[in-house]
Amino acid sequence: MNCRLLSPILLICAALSLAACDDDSDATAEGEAHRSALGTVAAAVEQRPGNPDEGYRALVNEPYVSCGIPYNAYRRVADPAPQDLRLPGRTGLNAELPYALTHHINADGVGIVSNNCLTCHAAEIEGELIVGLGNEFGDFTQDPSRTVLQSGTYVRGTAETAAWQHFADRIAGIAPYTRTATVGVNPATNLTWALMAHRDPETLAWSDTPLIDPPPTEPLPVSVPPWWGMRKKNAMFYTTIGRGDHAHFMLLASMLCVEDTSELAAIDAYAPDIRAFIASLEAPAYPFAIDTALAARGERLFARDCAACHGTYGANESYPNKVYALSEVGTDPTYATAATDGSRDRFYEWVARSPYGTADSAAPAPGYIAPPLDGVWATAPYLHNGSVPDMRTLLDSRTRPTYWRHRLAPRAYLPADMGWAHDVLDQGQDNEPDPAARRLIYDTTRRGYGNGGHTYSDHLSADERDALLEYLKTL
Amino acid sequence: MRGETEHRTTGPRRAAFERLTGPLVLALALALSAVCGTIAQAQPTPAEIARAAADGLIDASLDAAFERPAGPWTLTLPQDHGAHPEARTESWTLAAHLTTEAGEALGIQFALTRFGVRTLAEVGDDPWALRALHRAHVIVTRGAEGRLMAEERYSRGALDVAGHDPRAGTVWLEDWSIGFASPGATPAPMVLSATVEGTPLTLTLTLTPQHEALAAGGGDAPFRGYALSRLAVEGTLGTGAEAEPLAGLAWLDHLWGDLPLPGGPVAYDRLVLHLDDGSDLSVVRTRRSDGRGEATVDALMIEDAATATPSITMNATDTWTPSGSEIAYPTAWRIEGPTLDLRLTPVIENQRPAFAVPLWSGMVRVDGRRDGAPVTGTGTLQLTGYEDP
Repeated sequence: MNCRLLSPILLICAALSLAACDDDSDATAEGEAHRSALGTVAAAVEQRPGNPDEGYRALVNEPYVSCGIPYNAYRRVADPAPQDLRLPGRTGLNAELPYALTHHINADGVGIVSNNCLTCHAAEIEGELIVGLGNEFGDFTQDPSRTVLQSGTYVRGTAETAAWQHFADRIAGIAPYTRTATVGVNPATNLTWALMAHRDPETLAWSDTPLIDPPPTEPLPVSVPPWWGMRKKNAMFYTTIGRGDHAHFMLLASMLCVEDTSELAAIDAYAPDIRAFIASLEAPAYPFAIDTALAARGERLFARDCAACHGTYGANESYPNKVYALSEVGTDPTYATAATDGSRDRFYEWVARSPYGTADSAAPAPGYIAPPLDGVWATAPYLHNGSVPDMRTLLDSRTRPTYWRHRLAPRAYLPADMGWAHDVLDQGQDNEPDPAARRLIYDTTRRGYGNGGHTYSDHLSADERDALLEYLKTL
Repeated sequence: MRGETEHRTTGPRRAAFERLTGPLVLALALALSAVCGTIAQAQPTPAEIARAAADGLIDASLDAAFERPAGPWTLTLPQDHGAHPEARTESWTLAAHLTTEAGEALGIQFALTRFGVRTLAEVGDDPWALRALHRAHVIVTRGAEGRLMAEERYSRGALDVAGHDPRAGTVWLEDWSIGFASPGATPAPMVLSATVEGTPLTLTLTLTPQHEALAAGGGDAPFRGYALSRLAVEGTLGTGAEAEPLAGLAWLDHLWGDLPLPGGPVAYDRLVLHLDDGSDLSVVRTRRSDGRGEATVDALMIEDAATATPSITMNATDTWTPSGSEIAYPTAWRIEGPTLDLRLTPVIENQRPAFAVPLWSGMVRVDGRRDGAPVTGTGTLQLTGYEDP
């Protein structure tokens, strides 16, 4: 972002755009309301048809997140975006805004700059901005209310003040539920529940005080999944909570700001186009050299050890769409357990009563889906909570760092390890007195931040692991 | 994306001072709201019309071709003590905590702000042209006497009634001035000359700071500036045989660039504090003017280095309401943090000068504990945004 002052706000809103990012499953009962079974995810209901080109246009131009900072205040601190932060196909003032921001004129005639989906769903890797790649460097550790106050510094005039106050009120409502322990992980799910707590499900009327019990204040962390996985997935999110009409779930991005059901209906008119665009995305190709002979050896290992869950790639492509029990995959269970232990059911009920879904929409399984691995080279850090910084350590659980920190300024992608450069640390957050340093530490001993499980390649030799890693680059 | 990985700060001091960005901007916002309000009150027409006129000037300013600072920046002193006419807005703010020879506590505040309306290039050589609004004030708090002396001035700056002279190293509004390039001394002291309610006031600030200058801005911030939190001051109040010698410490903030304008939705309570253990503390409490939402508190402790002080709370313990008013100014506070527990009380309650736009801005005493040891100090507290409905 070229505006340090605003970027945290952007990220906040952005979290919204992710809003539906997964949830959980219910450990028990099949057939129970708002739960899905383990195993194969049935093909989704037929999705509403949409035009991918029109979907891209809407994605980067339409104000589906309709509250934000007055444009005049934004321009007091930010120049037009440099070329590498712009996207094609943007119209009006959007053409000169950073890709994660969208401009529109509100009902009072005030120009508003707000976050769009790409705040969390686009990222740069090797100098190229990739739409659909999860942003794994967003900072949700800060108090968003503080950031919003800062953004008010340059706001003036009655109409702009009213627009800012509206935005600030909404952020104040969700602020207690959005702060992650570590820079990079995303609080989208908790944020979504918090928004539901503040809205009447039928009218969508906002209430400054929660109407139902809000979620816990500490969000469980998630890594932002790549959008191109939706080409293959029958349900959305790690626990496959997103069933039915995917476009409806994507509409949750509007929940921070939407005023009423008519505004939502206007957004819903183009939501199927956005869904179609997302489902049309292809994974980016690995941009470095690949040792094809080594990769060929790795492909055999992949077929033997990985394909049953993650599918096959290349000419004979297949994807099983299977959710695995926590006891099977062994990765940090906190997220899926919270989703399916009944503690979130009031939010699934909210979805059922709202225009965002039906009684069958929010139905997590008590486990995690084995995701498609297209473009997996670009999606570090790994596991649903982003707890493993690169593929090399993912493939050998004994080497995964308990405490680590992204290497920044500049960040560096390391092809040899298929992940981001990082420092392995001797101690966790509890032993770091400086808050600014503490929040940079990924501490896998924290609740929900664990890096265990998925040990399926621990038995490989070093040579075999090199070969498997090389093959993964080709996906 | 770029921004997240770029750290254009030049070191820990700069990094820490980024926390002070809001605080320093605040000082400017205070001055500017006074400008706006002054204009409003000066018009014979209803206040709304006058405010609209002020807004018109501000809009003109926003359209004027002033440069917005951008990119890396290095503070250069003493040159940066002087004026930066290329900037849309510039402000010098001084808070001095002094004692008389008799031991009386005496607080002096001085602020001078230029609020650019048109650039020199836009107006050419016309000496009558409206180029800027200037606004200044002096506030003297006499603790022993329970007396407040205050005066404000404003000028459109035509015919050099207000302005700056880089060669002479001065900025002025009428006969109030700041000079910072007196020949002979190395470094030259900064000399403030003013009057308050007809009484001459001279302060000489030794610009060898006891704590290093903290640079603000740089990178994406649309302004530049610095704070000198602890300067030795000597001066006199009055003339001739009645001139009182004064001595003590001062805190100087100087900012320029695109600074906040009046009429916004955010208000501030700002404290600058000199503690007797040799440390200085800046605390800014930021809140919504409409009273909604949560206030935030940012604190910066300055000793050998500037350190952002997290987890500070600032809670009002008492209020003062002027007679005939319903405004409750929170003039007494408790500031608490992991290593800090301070209680602030006003030296006198009524430190609300009769300015065009009233604000409470006055001297406070502080006592409490820091790092387990007893500590006392004196400070200046400014409260804004309590007057608006």
